[in-house]
Amino acid sequence: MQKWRKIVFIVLVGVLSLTGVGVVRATTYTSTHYQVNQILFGSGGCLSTVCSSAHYQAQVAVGEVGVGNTQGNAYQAYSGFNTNDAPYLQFIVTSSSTNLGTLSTSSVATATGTFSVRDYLSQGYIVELASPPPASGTHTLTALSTPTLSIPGTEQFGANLILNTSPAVGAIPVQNPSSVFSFGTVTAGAPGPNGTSVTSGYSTQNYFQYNNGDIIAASNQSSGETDYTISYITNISSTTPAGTYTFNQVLIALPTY
Amino acid sequence: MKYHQNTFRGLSYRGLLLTVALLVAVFTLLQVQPVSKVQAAQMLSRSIKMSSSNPAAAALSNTYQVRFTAETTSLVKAIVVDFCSNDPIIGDATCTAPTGFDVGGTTPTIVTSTVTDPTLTATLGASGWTGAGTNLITGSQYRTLTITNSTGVTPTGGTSVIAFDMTNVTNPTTTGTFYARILTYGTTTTGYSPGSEGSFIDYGGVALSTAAVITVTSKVAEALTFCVYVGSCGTAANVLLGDSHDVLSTTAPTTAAGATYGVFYSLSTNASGGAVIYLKGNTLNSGGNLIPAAGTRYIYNTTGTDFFGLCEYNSVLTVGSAPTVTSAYDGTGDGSGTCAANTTDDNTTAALSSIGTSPNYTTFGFTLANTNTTTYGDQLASIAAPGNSVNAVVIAAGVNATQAEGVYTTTLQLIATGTY
Repeated sequence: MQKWRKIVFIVLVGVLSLTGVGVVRATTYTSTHYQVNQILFGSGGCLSTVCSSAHYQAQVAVGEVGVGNTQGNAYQAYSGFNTNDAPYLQFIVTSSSTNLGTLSTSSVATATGTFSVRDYLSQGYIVELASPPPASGTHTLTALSTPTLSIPGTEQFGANLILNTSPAVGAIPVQNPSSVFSFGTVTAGAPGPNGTSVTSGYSTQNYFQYNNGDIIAASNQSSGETDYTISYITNISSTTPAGTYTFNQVLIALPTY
Repeated sequence: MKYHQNTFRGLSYRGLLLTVALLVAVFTLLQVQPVSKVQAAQMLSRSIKMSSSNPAAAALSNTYQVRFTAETTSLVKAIVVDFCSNDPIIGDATCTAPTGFDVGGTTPTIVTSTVTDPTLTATLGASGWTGAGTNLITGSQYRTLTITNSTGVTPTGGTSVIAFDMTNVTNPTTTGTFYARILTYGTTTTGYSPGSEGSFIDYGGVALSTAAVITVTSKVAEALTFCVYVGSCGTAANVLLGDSHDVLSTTAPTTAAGATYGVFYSLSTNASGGAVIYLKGNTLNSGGNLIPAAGTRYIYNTTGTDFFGLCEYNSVLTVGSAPTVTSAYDGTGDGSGTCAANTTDDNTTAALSSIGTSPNYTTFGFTLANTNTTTYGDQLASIAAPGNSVNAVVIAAGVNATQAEGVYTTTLQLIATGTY
């Protein structure tokens, strides 16, 4: 009888192994040739597709064993019931149109814009400037190629992403909900994915710079939402050609997965 | 019999064990049998960089830089990039095309060389790959790019960066996230469709996003600051010609005959077409008597001759170019004489004391027909672009012994006109 029990046990192991084939095929742990997503170690729970009725649905977790991000040099994993297996990027630039009016040689003109970035299942992201400086006809305002103070009377166009006092404009990046979950930064040299880093010149108070293509923000890991404020200064000289200067700031968020 | 029974039972038991063990082994083997999706590896370090995130750039040709590190060392002859608005999940049978998106028509332009990114190795080679757009969205817009090369390349898994640019992509016309599903194949015939991807090698999903544009508009008004003075802007531009008694002399030496004093004009303008300075007025006159105008490039090298004229040179240049002085007034009419080098204008020294020596005399001009009879005067100088400068106008006069006595005066106007 004990022998038959052994036989049944071995058969069960075989059947379970067979059952396991499906699991492995669908979702696998990561090695050279395999990966797995969405594995549950916990006391219980259900997805919305299970915990649902005609009028309600819910996702339930009971006693989650561990939550959060775990990463090594090559791989990372997210633990917790409410995880998703799809790479994600939320990049929102608040649409804004600022009219600075008629510029003066005696005072600086300022404008701000805001954007936010959140990404998931990535190695991080960078945000790049992707627009030329303001132009009118054939003349393009002189962009500050190095960090420079605002000097009214000298033709200048620059930007930074920090709180300034002269002129009083801008704000520091805000981690949303907190720095525990969000990691975007504008600090010079801060790393992004694939060996990228934030270009210096955009995080020093009262110093402005603008080079098309510069990296102005980055995170080197998946990040909750970081809210950025980009500030612009414009100064003109007595010889800045007359005209209406238009600047359309295009920003590019580039995550690497 | 018992022995046999035990033997039989023993053989049967061992047979069953063997059978079960074989079954387990077979199932275990089945578990690791090559199944395309299981064997396929997720590529790491994958990204698609957009040249513009502006959804309004839909009508423009945007470049998408596709980059990923191959995870499998295997011959690659085709790469599929499918753009979906719903998710990047390989295996999802639904791929909704992003609104307004287009990979570049039926024959998208792709670049596999490293021209656009010299930091990369051209893993795919500089040529040999062709692109095709499939999965028609509407009109001539397609959702899926497939690039193929009948020869193919074999990247080194975990090392080789596969890179190519899509150079004629139309962005989605709405802001927000959209996705790309990337797959590599060992044959040029991929058989790809969402949810039925065929036998692919490596795969990966990427999220992209269009975003609004920050628009800043400002105006710069037309500006022209023009000041004529002797000492500084705001002071009167009254000039007394002559010796210490303000008398024009006929007996001065040739190199210092007559007397000059300078006036200055400062010109600052942002006129994109520059500005023109006109000279308007009569020559020195007293009642009905005139001191003859110098004409064009008059050379004063003989004492005791009548003339009234002027020349101009740039004194200070802050921005732009120095004004181009009309030839009649540039002072260079004789050899290498110049207005600046051979005159002084500090209101203390007789300028003509250094008028120069032959053949390098400074020349003077005053074209009366233009300065005194035309509506706008004679062109003195001009600049072709915005500029900021201070310029000196050296005024000179000489008389001969027969010049009627009197107090000779004239009122000269300098008129600046900007072209914007």
